[in-house]
Amino acid sequence: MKLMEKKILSYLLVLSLFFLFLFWSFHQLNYQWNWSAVYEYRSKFISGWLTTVAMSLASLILSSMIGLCGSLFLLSRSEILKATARVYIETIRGTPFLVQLLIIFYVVANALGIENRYFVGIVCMSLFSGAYMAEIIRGAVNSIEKGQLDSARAIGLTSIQTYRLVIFPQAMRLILPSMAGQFVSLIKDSSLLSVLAISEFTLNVQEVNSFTYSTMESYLPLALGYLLLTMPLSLFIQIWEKRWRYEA
Amino acid sequence: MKLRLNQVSQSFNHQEILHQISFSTSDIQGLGIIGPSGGGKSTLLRILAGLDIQNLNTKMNQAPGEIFFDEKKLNFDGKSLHLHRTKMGVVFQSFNLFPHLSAWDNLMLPLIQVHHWELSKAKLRLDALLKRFQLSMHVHKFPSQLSGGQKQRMAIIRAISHHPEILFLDEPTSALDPEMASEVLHMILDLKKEGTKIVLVTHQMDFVKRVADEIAFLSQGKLVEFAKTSLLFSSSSQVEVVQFFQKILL
Ligand SMILES: Nc1ncnc2c1ncn2[C@@H]1O[C@H](COP(=O)(O)OP(=O)(O)OP(=O)(O)O)[C@@H](O)[C@H]1O
Ligand SMILES: [Mg+2]
Repeated sequence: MKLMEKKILSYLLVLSLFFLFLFWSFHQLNYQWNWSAVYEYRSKFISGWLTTVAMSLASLILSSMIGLCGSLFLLSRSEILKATARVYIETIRGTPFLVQLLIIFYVVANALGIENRYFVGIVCMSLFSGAYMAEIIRGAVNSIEKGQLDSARAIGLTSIQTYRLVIFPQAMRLILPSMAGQFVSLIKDSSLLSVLAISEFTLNVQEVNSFTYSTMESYLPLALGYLLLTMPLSLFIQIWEKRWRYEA
Repeated sequence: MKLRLNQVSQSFNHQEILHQISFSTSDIQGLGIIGPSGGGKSTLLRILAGLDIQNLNTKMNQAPGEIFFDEKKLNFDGKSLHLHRTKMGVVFQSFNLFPHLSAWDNLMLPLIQVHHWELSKAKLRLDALLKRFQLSMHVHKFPSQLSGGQKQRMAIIRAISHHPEILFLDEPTSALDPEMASEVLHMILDLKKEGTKIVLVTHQMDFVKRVADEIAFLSQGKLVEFAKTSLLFSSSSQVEVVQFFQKILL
């Protein structure tokens, strides 16, 4: 209990110093706050935030599936599958997300005749995140000692059973926190979708700003809106990692 | 059991690790495989247990060697090997138990998933084995909470619970300190008394003497001698074997 109290006090202290500093910085600006203009547009904040949540969630699911396939390709014995996964992953990880968005939207989607920008946005985010997920999953699977695979074969498990009963349950423990971290980046990176004129959180807030000229009053809630999503995830990661620490 | 090997070989990266091993046992209960480190003992045991197939050395243009268990030929296609593995039991030096499952779940896994036993039958069998080897009180622990000796004994229980035709042991005690090694040794000797058929790789000569009826001595991938245990230890004609014993016993 003592430790808990110390922890809470430390957080309170650091947070209040942080806000004091922020407050002081804003005070120096001599800024004329005008919340009422922004408040008029509250529905735009909410709908933008919900769009961001929905698109991030959809991308999380799709990118997990892409990541799983990618990792299976990387781990497979087929050279062609391995090469496919490698080219995909290195291209995605080696280029900026913004460039990928523009190329996929204006070139690839255009060529394929896909017009729904929300759909394209989700695909872009999933492809981007999937590359990182594939590496996360591959790393976790590879971290399982080879001796366990021998054991699994020796007791007569098939390779599918080995994946299902031995490898993935253990890999999941390593994968989940990294995946949550990946999800945090995904949520933040989704703000780039504004360049495709997708009415997600950031774009909506930019619009509110241009209507009201109340920059601070628009962008502070924007930051808060993202924190609202990312903080619980970070917390989850910490709790998860504590929970499995007993493993030798 | 009667085991017959005809020119069994193994290569890794075009390097020959096992060179045309041939021998046939009488109808025995225990086979020992001994010899200096790196001689190919584990490699041979893995092939016999159906864990590895023989990689053919294409340069030498040889056919895969043949293995007969009680004059039944072992086929090397995936399906036959899988069937073979379900009929055998194997215990390695370490990493036998899965760390994410409790000891009990480790023991249940093959009976339920591989052998499709009824839950009640599996419980009955495991409870009897655990009681017999005084492990009942540890069964709800995770591998990380068990001692090395307890882990190995659990692994042996898992390997014999389905009544395998042969129990393969690859240095089951060499990662353990002497006290724990001896509890594992006693368990294996008990099983032998009971009629379990055993193929044992070990560096402990007193152990192999008590388990094996016949012994294959491997060195540098070649079979140096195959003989009855008592004969090998008392009157081997091979210089290499005699020197090996002298080095070990000194
Ligand atoms: N998968 C593999 N790839 C390449 N070389 C291997 C492989 N497995 C074994 N070897 C080599 O084959 C030789 C024999 O290995 P093996 O493990 O069968 O020896 P061993 O008799 O069991 O030795 P020890 O008593 O030290 O366990 C060694 O030189 C080893 O390096
Ligand atoms: Mg060995």
